[in-house]
Amino acid sequence: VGRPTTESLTKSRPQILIAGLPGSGKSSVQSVVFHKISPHETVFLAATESVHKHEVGNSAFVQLQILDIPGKLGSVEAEENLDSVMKGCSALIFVIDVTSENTDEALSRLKDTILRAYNANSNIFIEVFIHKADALTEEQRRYCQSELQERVDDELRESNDKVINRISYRTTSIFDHSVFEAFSLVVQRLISELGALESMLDLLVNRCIMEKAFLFDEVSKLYIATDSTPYHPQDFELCSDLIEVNIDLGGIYSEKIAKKGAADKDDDDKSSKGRSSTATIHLSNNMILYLREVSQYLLLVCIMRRQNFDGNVGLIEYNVKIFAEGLREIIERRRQELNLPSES
Amino acid sequence: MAAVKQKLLLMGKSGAGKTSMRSIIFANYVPRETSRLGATIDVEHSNIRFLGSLTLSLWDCGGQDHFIDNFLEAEQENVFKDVAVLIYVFDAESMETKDTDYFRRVCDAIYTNSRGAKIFCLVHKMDLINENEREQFCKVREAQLKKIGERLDLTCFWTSIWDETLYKAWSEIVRCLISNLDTLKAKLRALCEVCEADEVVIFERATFLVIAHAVIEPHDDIHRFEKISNIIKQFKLSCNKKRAGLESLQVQNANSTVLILDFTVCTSIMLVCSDTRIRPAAVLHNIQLANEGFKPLLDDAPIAGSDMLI
Ligand SMILES: Nc1nc2c(ncn2[C@@H]2O[C@H](COP(=O)(O)OP(=O)(O)OP(=O)(O)O)[C@@H](O)[C@H]2O)c(=O)[nH]1
Ligand SMILES: Nc1nc2c(ncn2[C@@H]2O[C@H](COP(=O)(O)OP(=O)(O)O)[C@@H](O)[C@H]2O)c(=O)[nH]1
Ligand SMILES: [Mg+2]
Repeated sequence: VGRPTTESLTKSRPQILIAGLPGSGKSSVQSVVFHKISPHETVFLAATESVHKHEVGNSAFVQLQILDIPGKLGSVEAEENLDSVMKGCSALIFVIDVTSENTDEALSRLKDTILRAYNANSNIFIEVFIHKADALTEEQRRYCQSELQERVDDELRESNDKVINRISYRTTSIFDHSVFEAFSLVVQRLISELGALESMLDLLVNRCIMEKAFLFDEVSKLYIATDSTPYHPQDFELCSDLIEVNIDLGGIYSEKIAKKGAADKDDDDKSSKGRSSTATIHLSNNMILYLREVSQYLLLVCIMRRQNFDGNVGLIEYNVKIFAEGLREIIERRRQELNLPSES
Repeated sequence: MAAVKQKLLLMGKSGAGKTSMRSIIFANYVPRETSRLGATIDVEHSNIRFLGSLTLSLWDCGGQDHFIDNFLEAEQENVFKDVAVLIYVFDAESMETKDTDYFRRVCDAIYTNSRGAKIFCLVHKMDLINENEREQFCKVREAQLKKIGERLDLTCFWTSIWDETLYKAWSEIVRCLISNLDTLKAKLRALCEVCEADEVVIFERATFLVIAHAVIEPHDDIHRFEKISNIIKQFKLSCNKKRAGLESLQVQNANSTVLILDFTVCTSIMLVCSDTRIRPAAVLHNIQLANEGFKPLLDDAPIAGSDMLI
């Protein structure tokens, strides 16, 4: 299989545009999610002066282009150019800073940007991140979200009715998991195979009597899909924290090994060494967290009761293998469509 | 065995980060929560049980000038006598002559009242110092502080609440209060060999500070143990949020297996095996067998400098 050119990748990767007033946190959001900047380090980020395009090439399901645009309004040309940029975008994220005083300016910019994006491309998904929500309590978060949504709906109803249904609202902060949760849902909207992935997870959960299962993109820690049992944010948090532990420990204890295995270093395909990465956690509340790499940069993380785990590891591994095989087929098809290099 | 108390003074100017570090290490704060801490008034005492028979009596001394003046004058004997460890925290971003003058006076007070005490200088908030300038900065500061404390046993650390440097410094601090470290290390090495592991580390369970380690296969990253303290402590806190304790963790990849689990009452243990033929179940069995032998060392550790020892 020939390597795709950058050009062909660029064409196939869906684009996500991030807009909002200056200082609302646009660059911070994408740096924390995709570039592993620590949240407290974002204070050093300079104001964005021109459109920045970030290529994200993680697992097969997280192949994106993130467009970070300046919050400051640009020249006439730059603004005209924005229309054509929006035409090519699959999703628009508008970041609104809850701690900022100028709510009116933010709202009018929000409304303008949304209408503009919708006029350029009526298939675009629109996401409003009500950001820096770490300043709010849980209750304030809910209140803020419903109030903002109501105001925007009211204003948009006058100019364009249909766009309202395309907008989702989420409260976010880079200091907790909410920004990862919100970005996961944005990315999921762009995955056409989502339904298939969810049914496969449902099957796995039923067969192995699991409480919950997530499929994660390892590098970004976004979740690609989950089964249809009720979703609790804490489950997501715990699973994504486990991924972090897995990555960090793996990072510490792989260098030395790289030296040892230098002989067979030629093919860096992990599967050829026969053991994909796994992690098992026993919690004192009789729950087990079980993590397994099921494809390149894709991790399955499950929550199970101890009585369903102990003694059933063989069965679980067998079903996970079946899941991984199904996943491989989906990925292969996706890779062909997106013109990505094949994994095998 | 009767409990032994060791007195630790935590000093430095107001806002330097004393309460922040104490709260992260001993009270399960996450770094970001420290921005909500108020200034410390006078002295906040806390008694922390550490490894069975050891109690750390931590004196967090408010850093505003009038408090420090009071400690150095009217309260001098009360504050500075029977000190085992002085931890002096500097704010890296704003180290002025006034700070070093105070430090000099504190060193004098220690010299007068507790000559055998160990001094740890923590130059803190290093995240705020430009990365390119850090090395030079450290060199200059270390020379300066060592000069001031030349009559005393003084060590410098460079710390930040945002990374593992905090765990490195505090692990060293508590380790100097454990007297049977050599016995412990020898036993640990034997365990490491029996398990055919590359390395074994013992952590205090609540703080996850490093107590002792045995390394058979050398590893390039000399900061790995404090990194692991930091990683696992954070993860324990996120488990706690779900009202669950972390009992054990096993991570395997193509080349190695890492096992972390509760060991004695006061400690947790980590084993790393790069031999992929090792079976975790067998290792677990060996650890359980070893447990009894370690209990007297860890859960009732005799303490350096205590009059309990002959
Ligand atoms: N408290 C809090 N602060 C945040 C959060 N996200 C970003 N910030 C801070 O907000 C400030 C501005 O962030 P940037 O990401 O540079 O803002 P921007 O939207 O890219 O700004 P322009 O490029 O000028 O349009 C930084 O100091 C961040 O540290 C958050 O979730 N909570
Ligand atoms: N940037 C940075 N800030 C820190 C660090 N440690 C503490 N702080 C902040 O410094 C402030 C003062 O800390 P505090 O512990 O109350 O200081 P104390 O008066 O010495 O007890 C708090 O807002 C902390 O969040 C650090 O390592 N880096
Ligand atoms: Mg920016």
